[in-house]
Amino acid sequence: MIGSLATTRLIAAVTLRRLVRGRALWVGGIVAAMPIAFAALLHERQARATMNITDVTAFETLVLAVLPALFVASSIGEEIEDRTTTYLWSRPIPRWAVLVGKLVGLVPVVIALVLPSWFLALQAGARMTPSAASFGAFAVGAFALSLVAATIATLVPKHGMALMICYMLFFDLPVGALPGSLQELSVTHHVRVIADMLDRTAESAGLAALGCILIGGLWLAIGLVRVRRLEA
Amino acid sequence: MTELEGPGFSPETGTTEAPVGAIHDLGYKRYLGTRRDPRTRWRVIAREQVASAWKFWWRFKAAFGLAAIITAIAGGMMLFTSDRKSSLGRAQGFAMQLIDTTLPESIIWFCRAGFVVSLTIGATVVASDVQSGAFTFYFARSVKPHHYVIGKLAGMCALLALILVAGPLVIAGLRLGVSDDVDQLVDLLPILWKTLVIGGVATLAYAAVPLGFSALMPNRRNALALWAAYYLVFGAMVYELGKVSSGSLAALDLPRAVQTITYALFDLNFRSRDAQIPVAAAVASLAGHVVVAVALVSYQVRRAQRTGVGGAS
Amino acid sequence: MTVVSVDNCSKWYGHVLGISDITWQLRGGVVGLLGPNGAGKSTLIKLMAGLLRPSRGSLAVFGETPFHHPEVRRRIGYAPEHEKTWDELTAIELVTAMARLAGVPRERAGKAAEAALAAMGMTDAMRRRVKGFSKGMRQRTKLATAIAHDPDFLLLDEPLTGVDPIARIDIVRQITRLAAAGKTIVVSSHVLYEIEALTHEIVVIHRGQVLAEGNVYEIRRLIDRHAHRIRIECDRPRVLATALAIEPHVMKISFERTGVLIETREPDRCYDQLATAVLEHGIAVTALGSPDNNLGALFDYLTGNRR
Repeated sequence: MIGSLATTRLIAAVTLRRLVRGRALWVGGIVAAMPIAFAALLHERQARATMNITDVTAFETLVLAVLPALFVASSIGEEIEDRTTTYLWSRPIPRWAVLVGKLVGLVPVVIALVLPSWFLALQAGARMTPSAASFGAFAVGAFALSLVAATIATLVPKHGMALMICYMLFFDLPVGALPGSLQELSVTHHVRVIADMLDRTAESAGLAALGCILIGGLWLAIGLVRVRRLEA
Repeated sequence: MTELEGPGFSPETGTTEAPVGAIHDLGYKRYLGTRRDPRTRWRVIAREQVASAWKFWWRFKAAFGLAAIITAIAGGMMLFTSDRKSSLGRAQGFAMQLIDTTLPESIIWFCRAGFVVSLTIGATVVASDVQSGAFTFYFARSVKPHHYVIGKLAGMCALLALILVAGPLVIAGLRLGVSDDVDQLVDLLPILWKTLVIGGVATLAYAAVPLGFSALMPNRRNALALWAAYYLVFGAMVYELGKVSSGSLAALDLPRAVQTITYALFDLNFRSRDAQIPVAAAVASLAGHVVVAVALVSYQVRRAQRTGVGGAS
Repeated sequence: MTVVSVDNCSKWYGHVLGISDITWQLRGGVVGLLGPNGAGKSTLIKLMAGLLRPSRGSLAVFGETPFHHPEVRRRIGYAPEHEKTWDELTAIELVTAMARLAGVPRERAGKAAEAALAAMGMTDAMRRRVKGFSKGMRQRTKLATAIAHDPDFLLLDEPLTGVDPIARIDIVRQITRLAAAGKTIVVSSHVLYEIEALTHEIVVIHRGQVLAEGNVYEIRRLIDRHAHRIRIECDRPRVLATALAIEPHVMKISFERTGVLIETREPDRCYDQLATAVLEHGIAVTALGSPDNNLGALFDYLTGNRR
């Protein structure tokens, strides 16, 4: 029997190969490029020399609303909806390896699009180099939201992508803007904390990172339970 | 085929009389009755669109439920805060009753519910048909491309009207219902046609534009992602750009364009920190979006008809 | 050794009953799974493949529940009914990945995939992407994924759907070869004469229940409440009919354009008497056959559709 690690690697490799041969990467590239174009245009048109870093962050979080949905939710949702999981789950592999393998293949892609987008957008708009903390923030945010997207796709495969976008639009982004402790439920809020967008201490950044991981981890746990019981 | 002793056999005469009765062939027969007028084929497509949207919970009912909640909240706000002043326009010296601003303020929320429908249905309609090979079925029959385009558009409009027209109309009705007296009621009657106009314009935009995106990409998920990125990211971008440059640029943001028309119709014309979108630009933006979207769908469908697209993949 | 053991197994999909209280054992060989659409064939196959769990009762393959025990799935090869696969991959990439996931070591997976595709007649197309394949090519690629890891137990759900006649012969030959090599194979199909070409052992499923199982001729013999029909084309059908009409086992005689159709409860006796009558009266027989000596007729009898 193939080991769990090898299974995960193989599924990740196949997922990446399929992604590269499709058009989703191009669409993701267009989405990731939008904040760069915006920042450049805004910088050109604004009276002051630099723009507010918060504006660029706001657009980057919108990119975070779309990319995990495009790559993770749609890939897993399509796999379940098209019943190609029958090929995987009739093999002697643990069921969780399919979900984890997909994440291993796709999360780096999401991060690989978000981070350069953030870097170039800030360069174009504010002539600034992003801090290491902000890179870490968006990486952790992309990771956590990918876990959320994966689970939503296992729960509602046909509309996983749409529901992930709705989750961001109607829950994560608005809740992150609320005062009080409800904010802790929002990944984008934690991203802003880690990236030093809000008043923070080193401790709060650490707690925010933990918050992201906890939210993502909780969703992943639901996804793993779901996948364990899912019938093809 | 006859039997040795079948019906009609007469032992006395030794002959078999001709059987009385008729045998009905119950096998397939080509339909020879009246047929629907070809010009109404689009209605069949529209009806099918609505029926299939209503079938499952996540396709339409969830967004419809959201619209119902928005209606209930807006209605509740109107009923219980009728004597409160709205914050809208306060900085510019406008003093408006919350009861009067609830309806125009709620339009943006109905637009969000409409966006949800566009995600679950609108932005994947044509791409799904391309992927599944449905065009083979359409064009193997006497369905013309424009039947398909009109049918799909009409179906989407019917669904979105339930959110973008019905919801605001209910709130408008409530507003009329809480009028102080008959004179006020008569004065407020124009909000009904204004609501209809706004609802109609928003319905057309939220029906057509996602359809256009679904025709842009042959893959469902890519079409959906592009539409979401256009609506959320690009829309926010042009709105922010519009704040610092021309307000007309901000009209490319669909919900803001709808909101601009709403504010104009309800005479909520005041300057604020928001981008000042000229009404003409908002109308032109929505009209332009609809025209381009319909053109895209028409082109894709005609192309599918010409190339015989239909291979299921 | 018992390959599959099904014990009072039922499966519901919400309110819809997939299979109902099936008890059945499979000890080996090739078994044809027959049934109309919605009978429960795919449900039973998916239960055996480890894709579904029984709602009630138990189902074991090689002594283990396939859903909960991944290691037993190493010995199972499953070709699903649906056509969807990973279209972006080439056939060789797809089958290699499937072989590796089934436990074939990396260094051997490529060769095993090539051999499986070659066995399915896909050598020329193996480096093309699945996206551009015809229905038949997809079907053959699917079958290659099922056999690449040399499983002991094959589950083939409608394996011949959409395949051209020549490829069909090839595939039937391959399945026969695999069976001869000692593999246990369950084939579900609506193409009844092809099931007949593969095996005489059948399981008939109807409305979620096992209606009949075993050798097709034995089952036919057991259906004594249905008359056996014999069609004879000859030059003097009425003379032949007169000779047989007095026999008590003959239930009905019908005349057709060039012959006569006899319904009898005792076909063996009828055949003997038929031969005697033909010789006695010098009747020239041009054709002799039975519309009931095939799976289709058996299927119709069992499911209540008389032809």
